[in-house]
Amino acid sequence: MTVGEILAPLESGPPPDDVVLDVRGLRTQLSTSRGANWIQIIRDVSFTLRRNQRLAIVGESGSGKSVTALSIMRLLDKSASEITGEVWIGGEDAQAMSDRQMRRIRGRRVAMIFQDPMTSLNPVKRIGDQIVAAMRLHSDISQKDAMAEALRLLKEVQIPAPEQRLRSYPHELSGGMRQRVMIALALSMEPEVIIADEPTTALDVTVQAQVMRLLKERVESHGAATILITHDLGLVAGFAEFVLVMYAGRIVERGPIERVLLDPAHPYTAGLLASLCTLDTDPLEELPSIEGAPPRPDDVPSGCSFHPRCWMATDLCRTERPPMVEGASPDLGAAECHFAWNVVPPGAGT
Amino acid sequence: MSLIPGSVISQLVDQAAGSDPEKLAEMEAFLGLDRPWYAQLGSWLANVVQGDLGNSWRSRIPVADLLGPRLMVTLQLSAMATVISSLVLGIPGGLIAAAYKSRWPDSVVRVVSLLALSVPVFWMGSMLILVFSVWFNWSPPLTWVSPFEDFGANMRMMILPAIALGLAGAAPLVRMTRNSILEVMGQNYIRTARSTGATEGRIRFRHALRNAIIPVVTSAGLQFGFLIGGAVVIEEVFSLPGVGRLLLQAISQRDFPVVQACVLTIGIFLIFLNIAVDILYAYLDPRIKLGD
Repeated sequence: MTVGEILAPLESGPPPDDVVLDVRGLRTQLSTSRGANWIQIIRDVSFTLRRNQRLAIVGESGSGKSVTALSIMRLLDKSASEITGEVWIGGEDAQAMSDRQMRRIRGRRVAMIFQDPMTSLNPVKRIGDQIVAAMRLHSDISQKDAMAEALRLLKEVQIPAPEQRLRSYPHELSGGMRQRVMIALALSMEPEVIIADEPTTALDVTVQAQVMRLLKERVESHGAATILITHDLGLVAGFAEFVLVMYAGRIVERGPIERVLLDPAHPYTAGLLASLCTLDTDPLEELPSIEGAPPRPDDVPSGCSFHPRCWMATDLCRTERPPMVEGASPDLGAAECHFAWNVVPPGAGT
Repeated sequence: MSLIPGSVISQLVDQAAGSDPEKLAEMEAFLGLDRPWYAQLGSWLANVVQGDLGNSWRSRIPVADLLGPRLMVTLQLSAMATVISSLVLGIPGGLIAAAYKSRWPDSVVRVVSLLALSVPVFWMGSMLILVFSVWFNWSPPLTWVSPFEDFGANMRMMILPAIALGLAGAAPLVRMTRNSILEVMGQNYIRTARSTGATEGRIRFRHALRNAIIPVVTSAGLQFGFLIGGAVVIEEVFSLPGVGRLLLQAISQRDFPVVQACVLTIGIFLIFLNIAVDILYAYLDPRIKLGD
């Protein structure tokens, strides 16, 4: 099996058995004022995730990363969102499921770790009880066994004094510890896929590294596929095997991590990489940045949505949406750009 | 109260003898009414601290004996009204309104609670009596019995006033519960609960309610104070022998020791109520700890 096969969206019908999540032509509209004022947030997102893979979705704030995750989980407010496309989870299209079927998918097949550990745990329930409650939603395990399992999981995510922490309330734990609890909570339901939405954004940098290492270890040992949603390319490099780059609600580049980081095929990716700070960066020099800001979802430019900020843009980019261009070998992924695979870094002349 | 024209003397004396100014002065001196108000208050306070509430000027019975049994009635009435306003009407009403937000059950609950809030307590009481006695040909017993003696008869007597009082108290609680639940349902931990596959009912009762109830408890505690005020009126309407009725009577008779004792009792009661609410807080919200 080639990487190209791994990442290319499948055509139709149920995906093969080793595909745990298959998103096809996902489009999400959100309403800003209850049933009126619809704004297209996700414009055609497709990708395939196989067992044990670690995928990262990268993009700036507002590019639609989180909404993609919430759309997959169907966690958006029904009256204020409209989702089209297919989301195949465990051989069934989740978009066509009843609410009841969908509840059985949540947690059991796809679990989520949220961005803000400070507010994502119920403040009036003990940690152990929260994990046990989640576990018992999906299996017939007894209260006692579930508590023992919760204790084992807290040990596994390296929480000190786990016996006591089981009886602690969330406010008695630090942010890093709470995010470990969130990881334990997600693992407790033994999902096939874990979606981690900016899991370390709210944490200190040193704690970030610990939590990411732990997350990687744990998902590997539990055999769960992972989607890491982040704006931080540095995190991606240490974690993911494959990368999707999102811009204005579309995937503009996909490919294996080394190729994307070393040889970006889309100018946007190149711009993001150029703005990263490395050890070689001259501390006195200003980091290059992509000029302008991502478009507002209700005002996406014509043609290629990146063209107003692109140093390579031509008239063609302004009028015509670029095709998804595959690399020389399908292993390399693809990019949605008229000049894909021939990108000059920003500032290297026009 | 000293500013209200007429005094207990004129009432006592009118009945007894004629208006002999010497006799009047003698009585005034006997009751201490010839002293300035602060001196009267001072000696009353000194007695209260020693556990002596004094005697009623009117009936000569010790105030404590007057107050004791009546306090029981008022407490029972307020407690029943609180249970009705919060547990029977307020919180369930708020839950229903929140669950069906912007749909017809929500509108019904909100309109009914607005009506209940707008209608004066005494009118509600009178209407309940009217409806039950005229339409259902059922009226509460006339004399009050202790619930320990005859629970059934006691309930028959107390249920209508408690409903009348509870309806008025329920309205703000409904609104409070509704808004609190809706706010909590937007929190991140509710999204987490959803992401684990919990059902909406489970999320509402296991995750949202306990968080949402915390501000409602404060409100219900304050309500209880308001209900005592309402109890004064409703006791009169339903002729219940409670503290409220005693207070009204004492005021109209200028019976100072009784009035003061009633006000003091209600005050002490409210303080205990607030303490109880604070203790309940710590139980409901683990982030609040007693003692440190």
